[in-house]
Amino acid sequence: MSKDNMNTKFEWKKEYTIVILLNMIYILIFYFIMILNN
Amino acid sequence: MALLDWIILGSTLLFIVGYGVWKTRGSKNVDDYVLSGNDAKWWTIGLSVMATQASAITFLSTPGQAFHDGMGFVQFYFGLPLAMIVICLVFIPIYKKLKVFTAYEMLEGRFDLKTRTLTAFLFLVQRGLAAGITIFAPSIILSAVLGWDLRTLNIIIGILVIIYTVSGGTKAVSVTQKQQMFIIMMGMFFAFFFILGSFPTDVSFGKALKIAGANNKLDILDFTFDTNNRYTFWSGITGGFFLALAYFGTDQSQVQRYLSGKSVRESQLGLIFNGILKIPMQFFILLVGAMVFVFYQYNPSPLNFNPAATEAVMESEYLDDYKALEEDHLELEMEKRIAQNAFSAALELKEYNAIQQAKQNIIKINEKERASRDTAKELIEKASTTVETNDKDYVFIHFILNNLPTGLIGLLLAVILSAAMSSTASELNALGTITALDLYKRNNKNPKGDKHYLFATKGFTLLWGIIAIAIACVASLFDNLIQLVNIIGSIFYGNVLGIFLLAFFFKFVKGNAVFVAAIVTQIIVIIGWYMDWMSYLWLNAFGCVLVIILAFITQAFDNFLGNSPIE
Repeated sequence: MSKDNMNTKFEWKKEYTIVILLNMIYILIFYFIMILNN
Repeated sequence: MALLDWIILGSTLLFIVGYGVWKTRGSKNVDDYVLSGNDAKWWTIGLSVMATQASAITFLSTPGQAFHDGMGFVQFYFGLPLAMIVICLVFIPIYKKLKVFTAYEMLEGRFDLKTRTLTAFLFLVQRGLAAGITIFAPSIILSAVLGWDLRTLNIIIGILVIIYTVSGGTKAVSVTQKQQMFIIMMGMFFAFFFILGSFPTDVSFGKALKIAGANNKLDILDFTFDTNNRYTFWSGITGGFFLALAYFGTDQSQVQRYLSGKSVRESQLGLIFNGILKIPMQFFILLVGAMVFVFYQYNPSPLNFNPAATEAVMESEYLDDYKALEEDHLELEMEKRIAQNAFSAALELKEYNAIQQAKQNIIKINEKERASRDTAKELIEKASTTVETNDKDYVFIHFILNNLPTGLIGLLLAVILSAAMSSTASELNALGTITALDLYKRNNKNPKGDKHYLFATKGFTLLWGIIAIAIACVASLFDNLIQLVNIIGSIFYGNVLGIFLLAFFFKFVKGNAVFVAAIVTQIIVIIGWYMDWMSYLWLNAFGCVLVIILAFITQAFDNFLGNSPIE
């Protein structure tokens, strides 16, 4: 196992953006559920 | 329990075990057995990753958490999606490129054999203990509420898991986890809709949310910077991120799930699946707990949900005090129902002042109820020092057994046992793999054939199954079971994660420096936990940062002395 194999390009994919956006939407929904029912 | 419940419970579990064994019979080599022949699709990986994390503790303890303390626990998972992205970006491409069987195998290539062995050893210690607790947690609760023998239940759960995990390896684990996840989600949905149907006719879902909100059960987000508060947005996004990164990125029980992927893409998509669905799933389980709380606003509840605790105090000299407290509790419940009805009526009329007044009344009654539950706990503690007074883990199972119809009880018990089996299976699978490949095979001076190591991996999986059952049989209950597993993880994970981050990002740090830093860090973290320096969630970040800093210092010192690095 060579150390050179550790050098890998980190490639950003659109799925990662979707994960971030969806989870931000979840937190927003939680916020609205919280304030609308308190 | 009725015959129908027994039939549903027994046939579900036996079908899962039988199908797992039949579907995955005849592994030909180590690659087949450990990595499922690298043919897993993304949805199999995603479900397997979720089923591994969701143990029985999740389904027993989480609704109870919402019942007592509200839904803020969901914030604990806020760092998880970010961790999934980092693992997809950095960890998976490297693991796949190196074609490793275990996460720690990669560390030998980057550092040295002793670092690989150390991290494998840390994994075996913490995951071995956790595997025992994964079996023990549902057993102690089910034995207390159903009167089943604790030891027998530990052994039954352990043996069922051992049968298909030893027989079929990783493929058997993921095949059965798909069915287990289906049973789990179906059971939870049925329970949720049954609870909604059990409310008084004038209480809709929207009104139930208002009632839960008026009782502070919907305080989902907390943006304060209080480090003593375990679950805040910030502790979730930072501490939760480190814990998730360590758990999913370096814990073999998870790494083995996505290493079985057909390609880098399939493995990445499996984790993306988890990153998208994990928070809604936890939210839903907590919502079930909040709805159970609303249910008990209109139905009688015990002072303490743990039947063993009630029994202990009833057989003690505090019997009369406890009975008096129960009578007060009954009166309080009547008051509570009247107050909830007044709140409900005020909501109907949309009168702001009446709503606020009713809310204040509910808060006052809640404070009284909390005080009487605390007094009950004190009495139980006086009556017995060994019985568990914290009844969070008993709330949901009490609700299941006393309120769900025949058939659904059997299904929900199958949910709990399926969850216990799915987590334990991944743990035993990983423990057997690490022992066989990282310790036995790597340190075996006389290399043997593939068949030998296949047999050894099966043997070590069986051995860890027996150890897990033994740990389950001698374990004792802590404050809250779900937290116990997380505490054990937090003590070790930070350190191991730091070692992996050093491997991925800090190329100038060599094996000796990492090894010394890891040993010192582990000792300091254990002292820190024992002396209660910080909330356990922060131990992850602390251990991770500490090992990196200590490795930098040791490496600098080593360079200063002019020692040639050992790689």
